[in-house]
Amino acid sequence: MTTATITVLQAGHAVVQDLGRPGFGRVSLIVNGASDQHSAVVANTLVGNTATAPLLEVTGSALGLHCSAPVLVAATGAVDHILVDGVPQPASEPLVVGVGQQFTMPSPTAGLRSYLAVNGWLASEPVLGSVAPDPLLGVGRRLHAGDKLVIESAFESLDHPYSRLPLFRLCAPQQAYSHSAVIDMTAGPEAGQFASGIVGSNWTYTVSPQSDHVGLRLRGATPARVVREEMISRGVPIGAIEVPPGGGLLVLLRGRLLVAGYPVIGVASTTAVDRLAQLAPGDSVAFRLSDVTDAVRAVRARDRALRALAERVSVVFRSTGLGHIVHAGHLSRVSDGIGCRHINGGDVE
Amino acid sequence: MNELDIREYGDSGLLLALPGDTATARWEGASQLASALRLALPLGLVDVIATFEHAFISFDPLITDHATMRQAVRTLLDTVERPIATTPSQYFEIPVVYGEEYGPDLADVGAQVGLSPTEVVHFHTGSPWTVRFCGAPVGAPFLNGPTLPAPVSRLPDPRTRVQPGSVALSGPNTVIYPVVSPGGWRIIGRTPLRLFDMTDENLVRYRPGDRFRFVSVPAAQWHVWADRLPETSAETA
Repeated sequence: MTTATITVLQAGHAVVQDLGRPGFGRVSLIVNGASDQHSAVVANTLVGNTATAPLLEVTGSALGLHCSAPVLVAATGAVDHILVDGVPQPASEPLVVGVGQQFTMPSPTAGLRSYLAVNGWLASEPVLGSVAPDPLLGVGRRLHAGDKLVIESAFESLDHPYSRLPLFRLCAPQQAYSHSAVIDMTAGPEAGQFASGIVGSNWTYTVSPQSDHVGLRLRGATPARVVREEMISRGVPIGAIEVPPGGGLLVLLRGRLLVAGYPVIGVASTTAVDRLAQLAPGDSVAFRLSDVTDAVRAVRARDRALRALAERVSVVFRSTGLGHIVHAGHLSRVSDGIGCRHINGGDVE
Repeated sequence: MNELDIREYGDSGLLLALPGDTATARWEGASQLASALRLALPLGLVDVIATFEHAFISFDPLITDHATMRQAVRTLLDTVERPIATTPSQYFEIPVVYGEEYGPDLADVGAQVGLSPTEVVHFHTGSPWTVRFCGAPVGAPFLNGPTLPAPVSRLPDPRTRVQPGSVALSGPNTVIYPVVSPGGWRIIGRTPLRLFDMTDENLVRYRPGDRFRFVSVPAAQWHVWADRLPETSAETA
């Protein structure tokens, strides 16, 4: 094992992140975690880590680093290229950054959140099983220029026969972002309370600057509610499309409070929630009605692609003498182990 | 409503509205179903959030699906209809400083329901309240029990920063805010107690079904309870 120290040269809006704290519904603990879960998992998969390993999440800004020892990194999400000593290199592929080289993830031109995974374990202090920031609880680590991050890694170096900068071509699933998106949604439990039934597919919304990791405030048409009765507060899912009394729509992301009382006209599909997390203020969004069968099919197809990627990473790393840096949990599903980790507390004595 | 209502809640969730003639019966249905699900742990279950009348079940769509989870719920409900062993309810006395800067809406609440501020405090401390669920943002006890002459309305403009420990009313319910957070309920007092413990996996010491008795204490005694966790005690008359 080697210990690498990464010095933050330019922090932007960067935090130490992971997949969050699911399963605490009995105390309504906010789930939080990477807003674009899929990009975070792809980044960790590309460097041979387990899906839940801590990584960096950078929101709408650039990140600059240099390292005390060679590290194997991968950048995903909104970032479409990275710079190593000013030379552009592909995003969404593993890459070795050498000692003293300056590594920069530029601010995204479209999309909002980028992820940087580093092979090994990023030293961090989990709270209730996760390092994810929770602003209401006052936990989490935000990066500042001059900060040092410590990585424990089995990676030492890679002697590539043809180039000093070893380049991989693992063809990770990658999405090119633009400033507009069409979001698949299924009908919500209160869809019947609205004259339109659903959000019209020809209605276009604009992401308001008041949006954050809790949810997106969307400016645009307000579906007309035909029922006047007050709602009773109840649990709301990530992706819930709420119709608040103030007009427009409110779409909940992973920082959402677990219990709320606005009518839910629709719910964005699991795959669409990751796209929602990449919408920046001013971007436009429309909705398309889907059904749960299609939405489940989409999330399962995406999982198969992810597992195929993990297989390719294992094969390629083994064949380049890097088999030892692949984490034992590399091939496990994102969901493996999250289900019942905390759910029982309090009820089982 | 006398039939269980199960609705799709996205590609990985179901929303259940529990049947029952009274709000208490519907709450019992929701919290018993949640407990039963947590014990049975049907494959792929991610979480259950039981509230006043609903249970929201989230599951992993890679492992299971809506039809399988619906079936798991129906099977469990057959069990729940028979009385299941319930954990005995605990009793907590919660010191509260009422009014002034601790409870800025105390007079407004009195005016809304036709009571003096002192009468509101007597009402609030006069009999125990029942924890119905632990809500957002973390472990906030949502309680009901004693009934005011009229329901309390929410603030038209919610506060952006409610202080931790604030005791607030809305409709027939009381909540205690565990952390600084936005809030639209009307604040009548504040407890010096700290509600949750981040180092404890249970986070809070109380559970749905437990009873809270609010006790009015003078502001000068704030330090006696400051930052302590709630303690169970034997119920007093």
